[in-house]
Amino acid sequence: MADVAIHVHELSKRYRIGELESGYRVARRLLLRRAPRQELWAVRNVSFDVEQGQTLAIVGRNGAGKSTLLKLLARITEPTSGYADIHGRVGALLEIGTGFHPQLTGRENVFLNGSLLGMRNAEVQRKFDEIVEFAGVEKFIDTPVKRYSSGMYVRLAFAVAAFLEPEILIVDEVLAVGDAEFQKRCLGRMTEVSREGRTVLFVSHNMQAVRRLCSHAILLEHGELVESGDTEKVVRHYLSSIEAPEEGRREWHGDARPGDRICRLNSIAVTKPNGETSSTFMSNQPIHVTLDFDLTEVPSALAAGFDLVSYDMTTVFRTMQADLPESERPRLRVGRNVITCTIPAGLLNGGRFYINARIWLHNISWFVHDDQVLQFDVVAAHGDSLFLNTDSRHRPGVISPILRWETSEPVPGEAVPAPLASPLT
Amino acid sequence: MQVESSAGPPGLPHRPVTVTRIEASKGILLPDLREVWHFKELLYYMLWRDVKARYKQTLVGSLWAIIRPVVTMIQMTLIFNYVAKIDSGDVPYPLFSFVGISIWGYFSSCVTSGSSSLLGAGGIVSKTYFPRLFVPIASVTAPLIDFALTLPILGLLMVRYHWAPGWQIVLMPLFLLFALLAGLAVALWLAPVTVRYRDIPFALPFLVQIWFYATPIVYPAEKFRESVPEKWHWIVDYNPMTAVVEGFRWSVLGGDTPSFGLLLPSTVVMFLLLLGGLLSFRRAERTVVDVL
Repeated sequence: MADVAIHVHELSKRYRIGELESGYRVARRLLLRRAPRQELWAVRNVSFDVEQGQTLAIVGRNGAGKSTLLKLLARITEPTSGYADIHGRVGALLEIGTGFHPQLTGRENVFLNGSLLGMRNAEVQRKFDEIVEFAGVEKFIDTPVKRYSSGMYVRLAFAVAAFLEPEILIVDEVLAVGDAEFQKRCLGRMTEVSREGRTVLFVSHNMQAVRRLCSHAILLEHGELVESGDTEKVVRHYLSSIEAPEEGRREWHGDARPGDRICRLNSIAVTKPNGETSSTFMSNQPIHVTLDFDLTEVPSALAAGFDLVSYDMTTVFRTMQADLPESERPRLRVGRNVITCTIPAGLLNGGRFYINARIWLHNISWFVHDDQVLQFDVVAAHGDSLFLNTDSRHRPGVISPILRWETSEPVPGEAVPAPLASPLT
Repeated sequence: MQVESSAGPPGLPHRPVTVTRIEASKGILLPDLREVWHFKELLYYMLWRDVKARYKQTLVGSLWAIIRPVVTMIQMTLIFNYVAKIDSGDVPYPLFSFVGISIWGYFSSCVTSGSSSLLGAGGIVSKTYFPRLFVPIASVTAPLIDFALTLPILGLLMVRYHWAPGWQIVLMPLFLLFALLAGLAVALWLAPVTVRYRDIPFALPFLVQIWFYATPIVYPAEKFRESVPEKWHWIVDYNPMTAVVEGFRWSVLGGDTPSFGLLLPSTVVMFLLLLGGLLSFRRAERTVVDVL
């Protein structure tokens, strides 16, 4: 058996909910001797081993304890009980660009970030050129990073962490940022890192990336480890478990509701065909997006809908109820309106999507213009073809519709090369 | 957390691998100095970042560092010297009070920025691991720049009043270090508490003001002992800032050598405060992230 890089033994972390009490609450609790606040086990009795050079994925729903587990292993917070032995230096990349300061130049930030990851100056110096080249910011390295585009910023931040040679690299959802091209390079770099014999812990909602990158995986549910081992087995278990309902709804009340005197948005939700709200969808099912809003009058130019935005902030499309011919449109009335749009099955590719709520007087003024009010993940699962969704690389594109393909007969007489007649016969 | 060394893994043959055990810590915890040493360059970059961010585009910002103590000095001279007739012995009162005000100004910046330092560094503290001790340390080191800016004014005042420093001036850095340690002590106590109870920053200016008048800054310590009943002497005697201010003033302005016996209790309290701060901060830093 290979050497163990990380040995985790019954690791647990308890949070107290409502840790931040007001002075009044504290006083009342002390006076009335009420039982203290509730407890929540974010991670409970989790045990597993990671071998040297292994790439382990940690999968699970939002709130399953993945991030807490990473925080414990990165020593950001202490466990409540249990222990973990870490063999080697840990480089944690829980959020890209941690510690970057806008006023400092790219160069200064690289050194700051490197030292934040526990590297010596000399080590950073040795890797400096590679980092800058990977990030593609040679020309701007002495410019304050506040002048960087967000893409440059992210690339530099990832490059620092990826080249800084920790024995163990912890990566949380980095692939949720950057353009597709850069994500590919990140994945490539992580593969390289693991080939060099380093250990990688990888948290992601992107099952394609997990499948491609990781040989082993563990699945967390409500803080507990429910499955571990071969990636394919764990991913399948995870995909079957996400059928259960989950958040996927956003509500506002009173004056906090987006909008103004004429129009107020009460809630927005994404639901499965059976009516359950969810934050994870299989791409072989339609997704219903429901807007619930109040109107005090009904201007004829009113259009309500949303923009669907992909993880890299590209707008996939905008849809409005007023796109339909007048006879087919849902009627709006004074008072409460609930309208639903269906995103057909088999349209979206796997990945994370955001919903930007949009209600406006057509071409005149916005009532509701709130970005990213909701997010959900799509797991690519549509199509019966063996080829779809089993691409060894993440299939590019934010949508992946199955389009018609037909055989076209060559038109006689056109310049189609004739079958080569062998000169020897 | 225990750290031990073992042989390197086969994949990375040249690297000695340390094994870190992550578990709930118990008992009295001392700062891990080895680790602090390992990360020492980070401290340098954090300081650099604070300094650069602070002085990037504020000519006026650095002017404030001068205006505030000067105006305070004028104010105090008018009130305590002219109105209340407090006399500062041989030393001209403006010079006397300015020395105290400038070192106090440094200390109070340490208290203000130090107590909110963990809260302000929440972004990096909750996303990456490094010795948390650096956060308060950086926050009490950066205000040294502001303090340095008051020194030319002090020089001008000394020229104006024809006051030459004595040999003790070589001890000035030592007392400045005392001020830094006192500021750090308060920062270590308050920084984790401020994360939990965010009203501390509102109460702080008031407390600092009370402390200002309880410290012999605008009056000499012996004046306090002469004119206040003995049962109140502890206020100055055990005030950790008494030794700092008196010592600093002596190093700059000379005069009678301060009595060791009178400054000892204050110095002891200061170091106890610092030690306690180190221990309590070490306890708090383990899980401070959970409430950030």
